[in-house]
Amino acid sequence: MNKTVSIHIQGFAFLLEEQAYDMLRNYLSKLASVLQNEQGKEEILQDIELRIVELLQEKIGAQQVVQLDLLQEIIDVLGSPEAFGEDNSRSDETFAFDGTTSATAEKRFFRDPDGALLGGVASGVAAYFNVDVVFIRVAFVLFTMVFGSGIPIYLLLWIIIPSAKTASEKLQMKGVPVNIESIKTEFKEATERVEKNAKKWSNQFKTGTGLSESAHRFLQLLKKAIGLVLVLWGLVLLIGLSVFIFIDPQLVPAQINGEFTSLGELSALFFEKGQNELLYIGVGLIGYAISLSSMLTGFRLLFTFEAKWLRAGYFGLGFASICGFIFLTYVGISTAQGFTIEGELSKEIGTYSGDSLRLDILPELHIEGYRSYRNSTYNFGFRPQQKNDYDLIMAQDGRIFISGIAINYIEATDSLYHVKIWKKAYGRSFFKANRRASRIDFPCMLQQNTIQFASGFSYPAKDRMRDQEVELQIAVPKGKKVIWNGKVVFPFAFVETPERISDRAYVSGNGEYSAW
Amino acid sequence: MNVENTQAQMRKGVLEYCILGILNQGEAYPSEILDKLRTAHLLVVEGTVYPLLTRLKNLEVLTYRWEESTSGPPRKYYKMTQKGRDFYLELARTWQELQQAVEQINQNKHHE
Repeated sequence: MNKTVSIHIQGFAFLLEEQAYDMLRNYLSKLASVLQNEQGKEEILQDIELRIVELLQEKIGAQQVVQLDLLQEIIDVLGSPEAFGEDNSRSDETFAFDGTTSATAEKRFFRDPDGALLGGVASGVAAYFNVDVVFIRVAFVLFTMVFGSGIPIYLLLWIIIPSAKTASEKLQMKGVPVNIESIKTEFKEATERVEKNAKKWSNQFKTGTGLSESAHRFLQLLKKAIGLVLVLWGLVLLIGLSVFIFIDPQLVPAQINGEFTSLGELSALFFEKGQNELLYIGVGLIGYAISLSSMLTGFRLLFTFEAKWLRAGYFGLGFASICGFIFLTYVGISTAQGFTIEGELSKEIGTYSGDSLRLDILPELHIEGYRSYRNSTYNFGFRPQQKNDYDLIMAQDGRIFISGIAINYIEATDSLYHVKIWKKAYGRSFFKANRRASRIDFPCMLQQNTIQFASGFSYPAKDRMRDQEVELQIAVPKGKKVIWNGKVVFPFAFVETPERISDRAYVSGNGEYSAW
Repeated sequence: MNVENTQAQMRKGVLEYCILGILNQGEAYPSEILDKLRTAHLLVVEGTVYPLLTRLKNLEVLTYRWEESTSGPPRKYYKMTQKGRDFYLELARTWQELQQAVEQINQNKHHE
């Protein structure tokens, strides 16, 4: 089934097969360019178009649609574009009309569907510049590697460059002059190519012998391309890994000593001493083994060499990465064990007998102030945080600061408020978990009718981060209230769900109270 | 050297003269001219004729007028001008000289 195009030539309507249309359009534009310097170019073109109309009307007969071979017949009658432009009274170029001499033809950009791996962009570009397609493909790969831009460039070209569909377009792509002879030759060659390839493939299927030469060449090219990719990827990995391990740039937006931290500093807050180093060694072993072996493989694909040490090299790299995996597994398991047992400590800090208890964060007990308080320098003072959420990790002077405190309301069994602090942490044993919990520092005191507390807590960095938490438990006698900033926060009913009384709350690092 | 090339070259050389010869007999439109040339085996491809006609018209050797056609597109009827007739006579004389020259040379060849 073929697409048809409806066109008007000098006011006469015709229905053309798409291919025929392409050919006609091409022919006319070719004519126009050949007659460029001719006086009365427009007139000549008009005359020719009128002649085409005549010929079409004459030959179309019962056919509704102008087909490719009919159009070709007409173009045959009219002659090749080169025949038009020449002054037929002189010059040797007159011979060119039958295509035996090579009049330079105007080249146009087309994608080459015959030589395509993907969209034929590279082979089209290669045909246009008359270079081997391998160079263009390598250039695309390099562009992709270096700037990452090869792929969008390719897609863009794929979209904007038309595919060379007709024989005349294929010739224009190569810059071969378009005339009847060269079109015929192209058709013949294409047919032969198809037949030859079909035979080749069918022979291969029958005999099962090795790959055809072109397939072999393609595989060679693919091999080189993969080699190049492997080498470059190995190099990038190598550089990235070295930067990560040895330079350890401060990229992570968590504050340690008031600055952005590096991954190394951050992991030191999480992994036990010794294990952190082991982790780095493990990552290094695996990373270097992968990057070196991919570079090695890439070079082998590119330059095809064999050496005795290759086996030993691969074996060594494999062994190194296995060691790395063992180290990582050990660190992973042992760190996970640090989270197996939960330790909880609770301490009642006082009772209150009044009718309403107030909650308050004192400036110097606020997490920011708390820090300077602990440093006993007071150079920060109270500094409200701009950000709503202040859940970053902070580490300073050997302590880890965590912002945010949970509040839990329960019903008192007597007529007194009971204020209790719960400290929680994990460890591989009860002893270790409880010891961690006991080392949590949470400034909190009950003074008359007010609980004053910090909006965060801290613990020694050597304890590592083991899900340490602090919860303020307030037992409220029946009918009594808890006040925050002049508002009743307990008993507190939600607007959306009035039947539910909030018995939990969270005070974030920036001193914001939110009921759960 | 390709024989066909030379033949085509020779045909092309006399094409202008022949077109004028056709128009010397009266008005004609391109398709008519093409038919006559084809019948006389003078035509290789039609394409060469159109630029030639336009060029001759621009040299005021020819003029044309449009005429509607019942069967197809409008036709351009070409006619020779007075200048054209002089031009044609010049060419006719040259052609005769050429013809004689060629005959003479070939005859000499045969006699040798």
